[in-house]
Amino acid sequence: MTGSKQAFRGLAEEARICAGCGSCRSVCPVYAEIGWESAAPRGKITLGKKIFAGGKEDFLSEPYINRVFQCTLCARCAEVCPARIDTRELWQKMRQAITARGRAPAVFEQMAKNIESNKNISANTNDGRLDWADDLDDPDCIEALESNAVGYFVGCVASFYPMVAEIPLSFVSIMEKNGIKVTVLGEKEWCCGFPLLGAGRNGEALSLAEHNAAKIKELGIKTLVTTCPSCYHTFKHHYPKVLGKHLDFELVHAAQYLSWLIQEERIDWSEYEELDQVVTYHDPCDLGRNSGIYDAPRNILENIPGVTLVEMEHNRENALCCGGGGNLQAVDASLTAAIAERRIEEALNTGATILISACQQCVQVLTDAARRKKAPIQVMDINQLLWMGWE
Amino acid sequence: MLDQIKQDFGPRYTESYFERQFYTRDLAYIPNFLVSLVAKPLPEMVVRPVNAEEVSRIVTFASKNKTAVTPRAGGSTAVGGCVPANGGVVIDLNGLKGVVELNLDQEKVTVLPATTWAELDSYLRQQGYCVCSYPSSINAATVGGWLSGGGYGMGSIRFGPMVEQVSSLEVVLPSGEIKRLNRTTDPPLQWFAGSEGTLGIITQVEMKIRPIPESMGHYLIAAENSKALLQAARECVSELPDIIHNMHFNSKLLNDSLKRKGLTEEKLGDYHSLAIDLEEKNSSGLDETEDFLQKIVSKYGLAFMDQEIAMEEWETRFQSLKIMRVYPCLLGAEVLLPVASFHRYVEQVEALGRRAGVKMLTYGHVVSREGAVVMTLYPSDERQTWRYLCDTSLMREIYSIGRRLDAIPYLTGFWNTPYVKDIHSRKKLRELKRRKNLLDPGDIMNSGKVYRPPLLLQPNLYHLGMKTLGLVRRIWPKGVESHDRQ
Repeated sequence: MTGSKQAFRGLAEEARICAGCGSCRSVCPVYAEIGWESAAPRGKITLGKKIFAGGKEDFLSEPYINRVFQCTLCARCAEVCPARIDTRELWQKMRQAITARGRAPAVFEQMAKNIESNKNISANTNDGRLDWADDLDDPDCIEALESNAVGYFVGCVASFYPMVAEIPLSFVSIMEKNGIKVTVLGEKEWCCGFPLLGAGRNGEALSLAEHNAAKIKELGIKTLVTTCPSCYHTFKHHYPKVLGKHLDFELVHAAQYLSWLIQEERIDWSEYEELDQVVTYHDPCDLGRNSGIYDAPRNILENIPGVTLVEMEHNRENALCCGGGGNLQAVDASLTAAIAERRIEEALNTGATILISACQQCVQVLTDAARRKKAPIQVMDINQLLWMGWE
Repeated sequence: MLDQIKQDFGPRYTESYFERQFYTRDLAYIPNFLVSLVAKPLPEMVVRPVNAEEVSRIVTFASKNKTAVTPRAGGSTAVGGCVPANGGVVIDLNGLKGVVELNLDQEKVTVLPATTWAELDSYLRQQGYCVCSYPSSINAATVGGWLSGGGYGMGSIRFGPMVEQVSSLEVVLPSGEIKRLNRTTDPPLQWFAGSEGTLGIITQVEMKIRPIPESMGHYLIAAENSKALLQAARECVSELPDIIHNMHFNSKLLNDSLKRKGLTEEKLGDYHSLAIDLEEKNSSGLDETEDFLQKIVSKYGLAFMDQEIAMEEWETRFQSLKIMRVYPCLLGAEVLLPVASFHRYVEQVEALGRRAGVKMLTYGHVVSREGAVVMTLYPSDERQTWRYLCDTSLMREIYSIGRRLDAIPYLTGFWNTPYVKDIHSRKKLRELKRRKNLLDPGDIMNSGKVYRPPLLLQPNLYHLGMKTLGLVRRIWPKGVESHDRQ
């Protein structure tokens, strides 16, 4: 269709295409908090045009660099752009251009060092990748590879941050409960590269893509599931580009996989205890807007016995961002917090008592925001909610 | 007093050059050296109030210090209306956003001025209602901004310009007084519609809303001949003014340019097109209207495009700027034109394009039985500064064609002040100046706009300058890429 996004023509050319109409401004979560034109997408492009298309390097000031990295890469701006600019790609290209000039925020240096030495974003060595699995009823259930096993790419945050360890635990428990074998890469799983891409360090992300693709192939995985939308997005959209070939396996997000299992009647509800909960669903940007997956999580929620789904004012392609994307939390944690609190407000307006997402980063950021606001709403991942009825 | 304002507004006040530079332009790109000859676009400060009282405090300060005030919200036009002409203070109104009150019994909403039309319409649709009319820049344009400008867009054929839907306003006058206005107050609210922010700052709008129409029909009519198509448009709008929600014309040159980049359907590229979007109470009413359209199509020798293409046009109706993907730098002129002259305007502007060696791409909305708001764009290249300046001479020629056909520039702002005597009759201009003197004797509110041009934009000088640029343009070796030439 002619309404679809157009091929990206490079930073300078796309910046020139922007007329500065400001459609992006009114939907930008960062602009909504900061309020200055400099924080609006069109403001960033206006100056970016001078720098990256006009060669006026003196405009590349610290405040401007700060603004470029004050972005969640949520892509709501791309959704409304009447000139059909893929602004998400544009922000990443700007970050790459700034990084190439050695001007990126210092915080990314440490992150890149962690990834280089540990192969994950944390300060922990990669042999702790499966520490979360110690809390499984049967930790061995994910160890042995069987020919029909589904591969599970856990992701750095879910692997190393105890606050969201319930997500992989729930996913694997659901699989085991329903007789589906799961295997993981363990310490052979390296960071997918998403944080490096968000930091404008694409070159460093290449070896991670090559490694992960090779290990998945070695294990003979035919279907790879992620619970992290950003891992999903990176595999889906970035890997084929940098590896120059299609993925050797089928890639699905856990929400898609669970929805498919429900549809195929492969979920055994016989021992399931009805939940009696009103929930609302927060579309993670990398799963919804940036990958087009809206129905699968809703299908799960509509099929869980006792769960009633109510939508927030902004949902699906218009969903507000949680504030946790695009490495924003590393650059400006207070801005992430403010954006997340706005989303919590919207969730509270629905009357739901549980806010569901399908992303460990959204869960982490929104949980913090709900706590700060003392909001009477629980935040959890869709896997956690589904597992509740069997727990 | 300034210290008090700084203290009160805290992080919502800035004198930082980095922040202020973003308030020196709107959609129009004019090279800095040229702007600095005629205006001082860099404000001394920018403040972001969140309510009428705060707006009043800043305006009072500006009034006492004879400082120019430039109100700004969406910043989505291209005539310099929200860009300072005389430095001073920019009041960024985007903190005044949201619905204040919804009265479904009376079908009215009270809304803050920086609410975008998309935000308002989305809010109303969740209650089963919608706005009566809205601009095609729905995601960027704000309620206050559109009222201050022309207020013509989609829905205007049936509901008139926006001012006709407004029942009351809250404004901050140039004295700093906060006043609630209706149609019979002194001054009446009508003074503020189309005043382009020169009489005061709108801080609240009470306006009519309506239930979401039950049934809509989308049609796309194509023709090789713009005359037949636009005559058909004229007949349709005279016969169906209460049913047509939107009537949008695209010239063949525009469709062809879009087609080449895959931005519109292949078939559409060979034709001028007219999108007609109808609203009816029920689908049987729509059937009757469709019969009428069939007769019109047959009478003028036109053709319906496939329903799928008509739907695509409707769904992408806010994406006029997709043409920027074909030509990243466009100059243009927007006029309010009699519908009866529409086809002659298209023909003459395209003839100008052929003479000048550029594609003149025209689109427009019919906004009443009599009038259409029409935009003509043509490619240039801002990276070649002098060539770009020479290309601006064609804007004057487009306006000249419009003038011969009783068209006027749609907005005045700053850059169209040379045309102020074309835009308003002598009597009307005298009355507008009387209002300005009455409400803003110190000329602080959006000063330098609308009523009179600055020295270097005085009509004689301006036209001489433009003619000279036009002459230079004719002997200039090369414009934008040769493939853009006809």
